[in-house]
Amino acid sequence: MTDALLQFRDAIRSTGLEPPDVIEPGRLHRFPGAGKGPSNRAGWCLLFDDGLGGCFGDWSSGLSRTWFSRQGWPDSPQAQVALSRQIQAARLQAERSRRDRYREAANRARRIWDAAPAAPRHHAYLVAKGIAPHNARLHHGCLILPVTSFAGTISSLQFIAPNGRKRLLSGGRKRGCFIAVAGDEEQARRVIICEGWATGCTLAEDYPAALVLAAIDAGNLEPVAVAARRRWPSTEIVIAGDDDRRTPGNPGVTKAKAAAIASDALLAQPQWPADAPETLTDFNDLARWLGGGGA
Amino acid sequence: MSADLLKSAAPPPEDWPALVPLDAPNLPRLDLAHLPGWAGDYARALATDTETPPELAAGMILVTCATATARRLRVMVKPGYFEPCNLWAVVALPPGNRKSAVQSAATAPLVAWERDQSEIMEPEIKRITSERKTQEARAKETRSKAAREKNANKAKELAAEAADLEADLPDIPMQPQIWTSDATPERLGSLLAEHGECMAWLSSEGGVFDLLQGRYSNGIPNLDLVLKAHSGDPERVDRGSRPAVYLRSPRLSIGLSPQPDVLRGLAAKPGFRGRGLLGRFLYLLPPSPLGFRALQSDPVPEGVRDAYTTGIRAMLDWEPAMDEHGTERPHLLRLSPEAHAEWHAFAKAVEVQMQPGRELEHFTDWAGKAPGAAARLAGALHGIRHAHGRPWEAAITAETMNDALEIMAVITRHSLAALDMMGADPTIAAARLVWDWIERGRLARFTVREAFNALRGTFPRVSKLRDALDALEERGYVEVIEPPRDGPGRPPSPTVRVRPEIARAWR
Repeated sequence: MTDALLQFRDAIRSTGLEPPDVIEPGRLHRFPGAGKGPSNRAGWCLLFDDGLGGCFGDWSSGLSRTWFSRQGWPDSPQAQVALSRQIQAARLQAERSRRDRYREAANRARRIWDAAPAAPRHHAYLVAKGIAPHNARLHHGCLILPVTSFAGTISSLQFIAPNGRKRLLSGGRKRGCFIAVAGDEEQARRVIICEGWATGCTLAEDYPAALVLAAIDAGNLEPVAVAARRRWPSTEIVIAGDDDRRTPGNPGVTKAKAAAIASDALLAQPQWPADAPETLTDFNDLARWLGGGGA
Repeated sequence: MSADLLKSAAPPPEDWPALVPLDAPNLPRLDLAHLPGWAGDYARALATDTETPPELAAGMILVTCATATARRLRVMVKPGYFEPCNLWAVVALPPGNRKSAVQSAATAPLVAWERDQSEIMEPEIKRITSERKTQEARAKETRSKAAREKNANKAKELAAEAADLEADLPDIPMQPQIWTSDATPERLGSLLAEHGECMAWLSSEGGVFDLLQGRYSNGIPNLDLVLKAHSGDPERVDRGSRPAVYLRSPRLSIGLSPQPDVLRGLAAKPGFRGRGLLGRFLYLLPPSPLGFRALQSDPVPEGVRDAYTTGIRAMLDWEPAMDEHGTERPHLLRLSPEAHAEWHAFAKAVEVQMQPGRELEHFTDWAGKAPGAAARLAGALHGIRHAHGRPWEAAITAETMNDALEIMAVITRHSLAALDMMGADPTIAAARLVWDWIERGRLARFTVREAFNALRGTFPRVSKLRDALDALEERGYVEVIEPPRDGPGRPPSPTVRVRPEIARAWR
């Protein structure tokens, strides 16, 4: 392996990504994004043909970097222009690849969604969470929920197994997309944005007049909230955050606050009764505790 | 039944920096302890009585004292470098702050002195006026006789007699005047010539600036005389229809207490900044106490008022120095070596700060005069300390100079803020333009690109707009949020977010 290739791999690693074992110059490679499972393909890299420079990034976090070996940056202005074009082309190639992947996933999602029947009320997850099916459908025993963009199209699906295990459709777009839980998007007077769909169902049942959106996870709260603010500039938006009290840094609170600040929204956190156990983390847990259902 | 799970929903708590207003940043307060003796006592009592900021009383009292000091004293900073003791001070406060009351209380001894001098001189003026009338009548009669006389030689003699009588007409002494609140620059020249070349121009309004801009001279600013009357440079005013006025060393003190809006408007007045007029003023921008006053205050104790009045009176009664031709001249005040060392250190510090990139870079017109102003201030404070004695017989001490420099340190901060208000610092001026646009549109959130498109006429480059936004961010008005790059192509424009409490107030 050449020095330049080693340096390129090190540069990728320095951003928290784990590069693929084989990197061929001139070819776009995809690999798991930072902190993602082995099937994830949000990470990408392209080593230029001459092996002296390259680009890499992570679609899930928006990261995009350019790297050059020590001898890689040319002196002459003409060569610099040519290199800039090469970088631009690499980024465009990565972007095209991402869009192709999104499009393919969206098509798959639409096919699965259209074929799925409505979820039964007695689904184990719904029973465990004490919620109605709302818009959920059933696919091979799992609840499926449509992940929607603000353009109104399904971009992906979330699958929730009876035991509560969740996964997203491979290759689908999640960032800035949401699961519409309840409410009328055209007549939205109050928008509630939370992390998980079950929490969204609980809040929708508590506030039937509100439009409730689930951002899927804490990291996606801010992009969804900012896009929601663009869509509804003067509507009250409430970020209903989780309270990950036992997780270092409490990402539920931190991300919800950041989302509220970024979108000029109100922030609500669960107000725990004095005797509530620390295992409770979200509004669904709180509602069930208050309702005597435990958590 | 609803559990009202979101009842705690509220704006998220945020750690914004303290808001530093663009017009009146957190300025240091003037400590009246630096105003010596009876002047400091009166300033404290007057501020307490009127429930006004101490800076207002201090500014007006300093100008009053400088008016008296400038008649008789000047400071020799070093051989060949002299400063007169007149001061130009502006204390800006919004309407309703009892500025007129403070000004009239501070200048009352000047008014009383004028009145007393008039009373003293009244019999003499009447006597000489009568004598002049008699002589005029005699001259008139002699001229009539000369006109009727048939004998040419006799007629010539009578005409010469009439001319002699007219030449000997006694001058009627002027009623003494030491201050005015409304005069054109031309009239000001005459007043200076008629009253010992020393006057004060005192007003609680900003009309002075309109006069200087040429309200009565077709909008053509007439600044020469006023500028020279700050520095004490000789000036000759020749006007076709009036006698020429020659001033050897005019000394004009100015004390103004206008509204801050008047200051804001000065930047637009042609020539004021460029010709150094605005750089000659010492500015104070105290916070307005309106809304926080107890409306129950102690009146100025009689003893304090009397001490102030007699102090000013004693200064006005100092004997003048005489030169070898018997002409009145101001006495020379010398600095002690320690006082000179303090002054020199201040002057050097100011000098360095005028370098490019330093704090006074955009304020050299003001800063260049600051050491001179410090020397004048020291002269005025020395005069207050020795009001009842002969101040020219004692050197200005390091203690007095330190008091002057402490006052100057506060005035410097306030003056920079005032000049900022007038658009002296281009970044602050640009920030104000951007903030005006934000406020007009009540824009709680916008992108830099949107701002650039809207303000393209003012900011030809985005970098200039970013400088202005950075200034607003430093002062806690906005937060510029850099978005993460999301794929290739044109990067998303940063979002600018207005301080939440301001945005909420707009709603």
